[in-house]
Amino acid sequence: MKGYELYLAIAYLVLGPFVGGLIDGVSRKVTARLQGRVGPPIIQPFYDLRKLFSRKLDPVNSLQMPLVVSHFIFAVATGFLIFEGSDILLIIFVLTLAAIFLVLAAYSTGSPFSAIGADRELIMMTAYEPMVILTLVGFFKVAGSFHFGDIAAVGKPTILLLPGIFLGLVFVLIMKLRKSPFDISTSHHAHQELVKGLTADLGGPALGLVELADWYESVYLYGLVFLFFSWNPIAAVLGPLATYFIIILIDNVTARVKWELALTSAWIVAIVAGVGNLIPFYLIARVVH
Amino acid sequence: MTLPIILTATPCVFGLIALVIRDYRLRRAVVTIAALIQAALAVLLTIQVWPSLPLRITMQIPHLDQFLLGGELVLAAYFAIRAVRTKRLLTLLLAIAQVVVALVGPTWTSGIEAQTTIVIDQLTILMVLVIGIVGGLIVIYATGYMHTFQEEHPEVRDRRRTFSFVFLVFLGGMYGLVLANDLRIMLFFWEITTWASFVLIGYNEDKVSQKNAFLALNLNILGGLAFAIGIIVLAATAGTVDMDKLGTVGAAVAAIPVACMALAGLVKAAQLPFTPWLLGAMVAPTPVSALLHSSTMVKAGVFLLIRLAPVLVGTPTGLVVALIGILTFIVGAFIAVSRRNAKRILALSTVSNLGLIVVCAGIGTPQLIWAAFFLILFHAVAKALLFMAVGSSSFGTGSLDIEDMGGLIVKQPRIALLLVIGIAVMFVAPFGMLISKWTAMEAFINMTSWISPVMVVLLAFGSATTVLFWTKWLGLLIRLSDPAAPRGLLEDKYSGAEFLSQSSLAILAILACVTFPFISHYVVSPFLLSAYGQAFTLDQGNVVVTVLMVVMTVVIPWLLLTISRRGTKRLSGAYMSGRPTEAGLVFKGTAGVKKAVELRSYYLVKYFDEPWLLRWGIFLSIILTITMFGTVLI
Repeated sequence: MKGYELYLAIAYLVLGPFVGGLIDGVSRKVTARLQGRVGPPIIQPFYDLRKLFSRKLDPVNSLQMPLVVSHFIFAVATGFLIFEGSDILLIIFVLTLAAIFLVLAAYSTGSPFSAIGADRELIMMTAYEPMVILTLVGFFKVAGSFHFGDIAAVGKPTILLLPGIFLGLVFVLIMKLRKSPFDISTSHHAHQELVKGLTADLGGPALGLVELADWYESVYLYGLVFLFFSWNPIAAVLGPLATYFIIILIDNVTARVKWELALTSAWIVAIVAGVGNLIPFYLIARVVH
Repeated sequence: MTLPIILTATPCVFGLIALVIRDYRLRRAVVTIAALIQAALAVLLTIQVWPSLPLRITMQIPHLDQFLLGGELVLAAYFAIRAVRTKRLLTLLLAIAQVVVALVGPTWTSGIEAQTTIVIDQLTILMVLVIGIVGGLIVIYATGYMHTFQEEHPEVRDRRRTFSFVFLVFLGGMYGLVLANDLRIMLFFWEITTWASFVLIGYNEDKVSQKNAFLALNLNILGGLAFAIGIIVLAATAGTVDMDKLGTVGAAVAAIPVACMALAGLVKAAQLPFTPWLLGAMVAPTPVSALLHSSTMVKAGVFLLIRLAPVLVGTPTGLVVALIGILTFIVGAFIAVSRRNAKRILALSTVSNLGLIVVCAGIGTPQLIWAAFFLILFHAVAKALLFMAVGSSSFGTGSLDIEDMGGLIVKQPRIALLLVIGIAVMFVAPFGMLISKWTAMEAFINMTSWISPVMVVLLAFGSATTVLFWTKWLGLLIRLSDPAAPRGLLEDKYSGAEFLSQSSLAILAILACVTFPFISHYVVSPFLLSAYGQAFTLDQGNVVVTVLMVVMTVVIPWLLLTISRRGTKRLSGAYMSGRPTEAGLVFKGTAGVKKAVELRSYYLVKYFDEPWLLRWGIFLSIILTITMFGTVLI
């Protein structure tokens, strides 16, 4: 572990919610402007969260809260371990574990809305997981390491070496952040056919915890985006920002797709863009080694 | 050094005793004692040989040739008689071929004596302990299960004496197989397991059972024939019948025998294109599935392949074996998504996981052998547990459909908890199977050959679908539509023997997950060091992270559950569009109509269609198999 990595991880723990909340707030503001509305203040998500936590805990069953809290802990731990310098390939499975806990929390309620949301979330996990692994393989091919610090310090324009992988990761981001067109398991708007789907039976502090976990997750996900641009200070700032606005734009101009299209498109992107991007590394492997 | 022989003989002797005891209670006592004694012997052997691993024992067995020939002929005659009785020409021809090979074989092998009869290393010990402990627990479970089974299925002829006999001999055969270094002895026990699985799969004696039993028999005789031919070729060209001499005879000489034996291993391990026999085997009573899938049969296949791994490394045969393995891995995982029969899902998951072990053996780097070692261990424990729990559950629910397991946590809380533990070990990070998968993934990524991206990509897609079908099942188990419903309503048929054996396995599974760094350090590393001259150990940081995660994953949900149970606050109903509901989510509609909520899961049949996947899997794997023989014969 490099010296600064522990500080980075601690900074993530402390500042993560603020950054994540702002990411959420700005995206709501930008979305509103794109739609010709004034929109809420940028710090509106924090008000929302405060209100959620001020409510009484009202669980549907005795399993729900343990599962939601586990989801929160493991989601936060995923980011902590990534920034702390653990093997990302190993940590990515912890990310899956966090997602599984949330899906199980929804399944446990027995409500059709939650259950179908959980089913869809599970299909989304199946859709994006191969691409997540391919992303890490790409990083490894560029940096020869699975550690955040090593990949960040590689000194090569990763984005130019891994354009296909990057495209695939943007796909994953849209799915993981549940943005349109892949907001099929739950969305920020309660007017979809599943009401709130995955989170339909969560309220008050439980919903607040899920929200908070999402903020943490968006921080380390954009941390992965940062790795593509880390070779140059200007790119390191502009790259993730541009990605962020592109995702907001996509969120606004697309309509929700069915799970079939989500699954097939994600897999096709993983195979075409992801694998296609990796093949040259193997073709020239002998030259490099 | 007679303990290996005693270990092999003990289950067989007890099996014979069980065969003649008519009284059910007495027989159950004898079988239970047999299970305990053989497990104790397995542990005793481990303790005894531990300081001197790898241990080589040379024995002069008088009349070994005649004895083996007699055994082979008896088995072949039995198969032939069964084939004639049921008018199955193919089986008859295969049995005749078996006789011919057994008769002409000694022409080449006579005069060749194995220099080392028995080799015991850490891999042998792993297998011995898995057979002894996991196998023993399945035997105990079977005593309880078969009693209920015969009550529930009066149409099935009560052949429990034969069942106990074959079950125990199966374990004996497995001991012989993993201990023998003399390939001829190994082949004999190989055929014993073929016979045992044939009898057990056909236990119900109905049409489907017979058909599937003969399918398993045909394929496994074929595998046995390949094995026998491999030994004959090895004896004729290299003048040896020692397993551990394979690496020293030279790649050119070893090529054909190794390809033949690899084929035998692929058949036993139910790899494509031979997978259908294992999928068909699920018609048998559940203890049989538990045995076939965890500690015997398929594990014999991967055991042989791992033994061959040092000679497979870098050869075309090894490459093809690895490709067949990864193909089986992904086809198994994909099909499992679309299935709803619990036993079939478990069977497909076995096929898939064995595929991964076969990949590890085919490529054969120390890191991958490390992964294979743990895959065998965790898979044996978790899969035995899952099959047993599914079997027990079906007595209460009357179904093997996972859709009928919705809310099992209320109806059968003990079984549901055991199922959750088993499933978690199968796929949830950071438990056993996942550590091995991750290790394998890292090994694939580190390779530079063209096979690396193939493996990485297929493993990534296969793993993603694995998460899908296991989580779906987990979600069904823990569904609490009616939190206030009385607990354990469907658990009254759950016998003590069943619960005891299953909870022992669950404890073993958790223990293995927690202690895996020690197993790695004290068992697997020494094995790799002696077999490959280099060890593989997990990075210290990763071990810490993993163990931490294991503890967190076990402790956090348990702790939170205790807290939330203690504060039994008012629970609000699940969201039902604001309609009033009764307990168990029964809608109150208009005009007094009441409708219960029915939930069904996704199976994605359109994308993960079994016939299509199986057909293409078999097609591609046949091409690969032909390629394998093509390359060694040219």
